[in-house]
Amino acid sequence: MYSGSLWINKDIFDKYGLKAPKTLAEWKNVSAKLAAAGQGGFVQGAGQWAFDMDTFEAIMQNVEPGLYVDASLGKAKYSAPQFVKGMEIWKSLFDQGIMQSGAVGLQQYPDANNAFMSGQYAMVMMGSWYTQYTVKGHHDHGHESRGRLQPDAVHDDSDPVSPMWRGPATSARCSATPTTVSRSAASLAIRPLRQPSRCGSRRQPRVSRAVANTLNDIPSLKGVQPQWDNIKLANPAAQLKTLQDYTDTASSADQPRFATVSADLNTAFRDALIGVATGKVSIKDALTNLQTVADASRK
Amino acid sequence: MAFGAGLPWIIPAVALVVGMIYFSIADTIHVSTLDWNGFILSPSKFVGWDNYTKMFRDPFFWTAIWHTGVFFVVTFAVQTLIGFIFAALMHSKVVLAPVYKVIIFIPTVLAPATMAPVFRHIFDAKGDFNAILSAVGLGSLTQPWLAGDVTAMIVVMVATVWQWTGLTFILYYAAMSQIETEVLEAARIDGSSNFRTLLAIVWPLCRPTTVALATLGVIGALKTFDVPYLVTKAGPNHATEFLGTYIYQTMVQQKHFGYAAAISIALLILAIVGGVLMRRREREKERS
Repeated sequence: MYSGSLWINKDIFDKYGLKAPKTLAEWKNVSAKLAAAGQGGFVQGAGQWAFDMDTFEAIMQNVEPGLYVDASLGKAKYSAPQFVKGMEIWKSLFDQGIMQSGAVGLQQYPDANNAFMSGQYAMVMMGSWYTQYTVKGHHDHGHESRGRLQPDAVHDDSDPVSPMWRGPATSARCSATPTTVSRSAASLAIRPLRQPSRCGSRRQPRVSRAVANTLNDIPSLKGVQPQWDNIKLANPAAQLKTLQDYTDTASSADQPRFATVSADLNTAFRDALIGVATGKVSIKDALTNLQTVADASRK
Repeated sequence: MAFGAGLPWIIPAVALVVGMIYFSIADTIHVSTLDWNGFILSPSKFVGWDNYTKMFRDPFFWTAIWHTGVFFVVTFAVQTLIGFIFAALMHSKVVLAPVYKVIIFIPTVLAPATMAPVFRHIFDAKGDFNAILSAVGLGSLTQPWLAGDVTAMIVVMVATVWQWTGLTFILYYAAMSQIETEVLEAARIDGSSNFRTLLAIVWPLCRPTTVALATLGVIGALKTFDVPYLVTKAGPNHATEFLGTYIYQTMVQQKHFGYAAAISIALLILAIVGGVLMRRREREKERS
């Protein structure tokens, strides 16, 4: 599962003559223009902190790739200046008009999802599971979504303030042969649920491909890709290339989403991210508490 | 001999109560002395009173207690006021009274899980409540109600009052039905107004119902979980944290089963003490 991606409603962007933002400044600019037009910009259910963690991990991946995971493993400190920078960017989303008003009072599901799908807002942070809504039947009827959804283009710019385009992911891919099962923490964590011996079965690729074609998630089996010619997208001209790039990028990601974050640290992230967002907790105190909890969790 | 003859009849009930309720309480007390993540294969460590001392030093525990107290006082007062007035109105030969009774009671039988997204939608920054405020010229009051500490608690209280006032109404309605009509007629012959009759005669005669509702309210407030968890996730910043939500967080999310069990025992003791105090106060009142 790949998360921390910015999804846009391209119809809304086209209506207002806007291009998908590539940097924090562009994101802020786009949000301001949409707000001036009376159109909701970005929406997040920031009360559901797992998605806050997705957004923050995506921010940190742009500030310094890998540091977020390293800190959760005890290889780096949350007091590092990069985390201060990450928290400043996170807070700026709330203070500079990107995050919608009252974000911490809403949940990502169903609130933010519904708000984006109904066209009230033009942007949302979601993961690879959202690709399913680009498929025609699903797109037109299943969720009555308005507009053509597409993930924003994966961006390789080294600009540290383009927070959403190098999102983290769980690396849960296993090869068609069982000898090359990924050794990442994420894959190890989910292996008991996936019966690894089946990774080498002959049926797995076909089944995985059928699943892949629903665009509900990134295939976990190496070599399995969606059969793009067999998938009816709502608007192939606008979505196909972006989706292919997105799938390739997501497939190559090797940073876990939650696997290295302990239960206590997860809760501490809630207090840190919502506390900083609302101004109730200083960035310094938030990071200090994260480090304290991380240290205690490893004892 | 008489006891022996009746014993087989009460054994099922005794087995159920002792086997399920008291065993569960005893087991919770036992777990509260452990440092354990709740996984059956994980080792547990006996820590004695440590979970309790940790609880007394935990600011979120006291925050939850404070929220519970405020929540009880406000929701009980508002529910009692509205429920009592509705019950009195329904006894005054209102047209379509049966329809009103159903409308008032329906929220009581609705699942909070169904209503939680609705309440979030209503009190969102772009929600219906702000739209109504703007429409009536009170646009300056609009705000993201769920994102503020105090306003989020108010929303939780509103949702609770909306849901449970129907029960209060039904109980008061039933209590008022038991009042002798001669008493009310005597009051009218003496020249008492409707309002005066309501305050001086009906309200005191409904006192047992009020006490029962207060007892249920104390216990209900201590057990509050569904509305704050579903509507606000106990947030923002623990602003709608209750003992129930905090137990859920520590047990289910953080896997500190021992600590969660200690808070559960504290909740149990508070509920028993609250119920006993209510009952004792009522008895003293009856004696006087």
